[in-house]
Amino acid sequence: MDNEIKYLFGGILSLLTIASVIGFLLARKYKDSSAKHVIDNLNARTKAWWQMCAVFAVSLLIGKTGSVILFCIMSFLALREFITLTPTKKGDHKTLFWLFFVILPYQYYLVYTKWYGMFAIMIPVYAFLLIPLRSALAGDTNNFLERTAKIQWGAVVCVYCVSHAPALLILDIPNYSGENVKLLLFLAIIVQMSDVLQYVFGKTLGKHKVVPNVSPNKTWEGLIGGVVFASLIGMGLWWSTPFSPLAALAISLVITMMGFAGGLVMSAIKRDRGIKDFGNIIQGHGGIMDRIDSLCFSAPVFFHIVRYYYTG
Amino acid sequence: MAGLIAKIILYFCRLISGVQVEIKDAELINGTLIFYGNHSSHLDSMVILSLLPKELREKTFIVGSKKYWQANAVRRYVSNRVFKTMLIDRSGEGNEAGAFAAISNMSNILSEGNCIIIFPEGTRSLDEGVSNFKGGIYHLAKKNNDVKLVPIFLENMNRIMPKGELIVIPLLGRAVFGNPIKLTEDEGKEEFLIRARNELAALGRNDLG
Repeated sequence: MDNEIKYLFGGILSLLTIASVIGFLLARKYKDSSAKHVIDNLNARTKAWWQMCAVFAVSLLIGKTGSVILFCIMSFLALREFITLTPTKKGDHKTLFWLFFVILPYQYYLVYTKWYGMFAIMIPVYAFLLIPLRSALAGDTNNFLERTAKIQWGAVVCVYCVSHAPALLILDIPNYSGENVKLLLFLAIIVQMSDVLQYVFGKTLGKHKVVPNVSPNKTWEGLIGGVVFASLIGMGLWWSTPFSPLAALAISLVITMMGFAGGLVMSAIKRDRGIKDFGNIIQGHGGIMDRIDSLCFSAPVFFHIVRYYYTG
Repeated sequence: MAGLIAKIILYFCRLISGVQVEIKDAELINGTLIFYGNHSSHLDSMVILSLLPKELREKTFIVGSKKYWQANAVRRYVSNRVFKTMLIDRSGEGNEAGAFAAISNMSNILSEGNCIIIFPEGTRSLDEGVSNFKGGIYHLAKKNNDVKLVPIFLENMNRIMPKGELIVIPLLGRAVFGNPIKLTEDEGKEEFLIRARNELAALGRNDLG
């Protein structure tokens, strides 16, 4: 394993340790005040971060197979949460079978076998056409376009977009071969740090809401603080990537902005459905979809920036 | 062997239905009980069983249709050996003697301190709504007036495995255990059937769909 991966993991480990110590001290100081609820949630989140990082680290260290399987499972769980909230009907049952058990695994199989051409068009072309066809064959025309569109949306966001994260591993970057896993780590670190920092800045300084009708938790103070500081962290990690420090800053800015966009769009969906979280699988965070909403939007854009500018 | 198979089946049901459980008051769920729920999928009885604590699960009988559970070798094995079941012959529907025998069989199970799972709508509905109850649950409650009835509302089961489909789509289900009810002394049949149904329907939330 090259040293740079060790440094990245070492950094994550130190951050988590610091967060746990702060959480412990806060919990002791505010044992029975009104802030207890917030601190309990904070500590539950930190604990879940340890678990998520452990799973992530193990999968990445196993290599490409581990990463592909990890993201495949994440897509599956995210799609499950997404479709649960989508009022599909009996006529969609077989369509959903295709989506869950054929299209989803096949997309990750394409990542695994490095068939880029098919990876890029399988869902936008073939799945896009198959989904309405299968529903039409089932014969239920009630809200047909709405149902079809929602299933297609789930396929793109939960499967297609997420699959671009492990697809970073199949890019051929000159002078960087065998090191692509650091790009995946870079993406994950920037996206998640941006989320955490937006949460921290929002909770401490947040006053002016960006779109009050969509999310009361997203404030300009949180957005700017999160984007700026996460991007600076991205610039500080340039040595682990094929980017120059300035390019690392610019790319991190794009990642964090896309991440914010993903969070905002998913909030709009949740608001429309009248729920707070997509699920409850991760203690303190909600569902898988609540955790990877930013990744859904940033992964494909990051993937294409790297592919366009760095694969030669 | 049968015990292990039971565990595997129940674990699998729990996994694919991803059920999130909500219990209004867990303290009240004890003793001899009649669990009754809305019925929209063949998974229903197994999912309810998988949600019960071990000591309750071990003494709970599934009341099901003989035609369904005896249809093939696998189902025969599961209903005869793996789970405790009480099968009802529904072929002679409206047949008073048959209905009477079924009620008295269920009463025998209850009088030994066991619990049962029933679906008083009689058949699986195509959607989430709770249809009107058939009379059986009233006669059962009347004959066993010291037994509490626990409503269990199941959500999304019809989407996970709808009527007429063989393949399971692993969406996330929800189960809400309501507070137990009893037949009151001066309550008539219609009155009780409507009250029991409304108690169950009130556990569902209607913002989905």
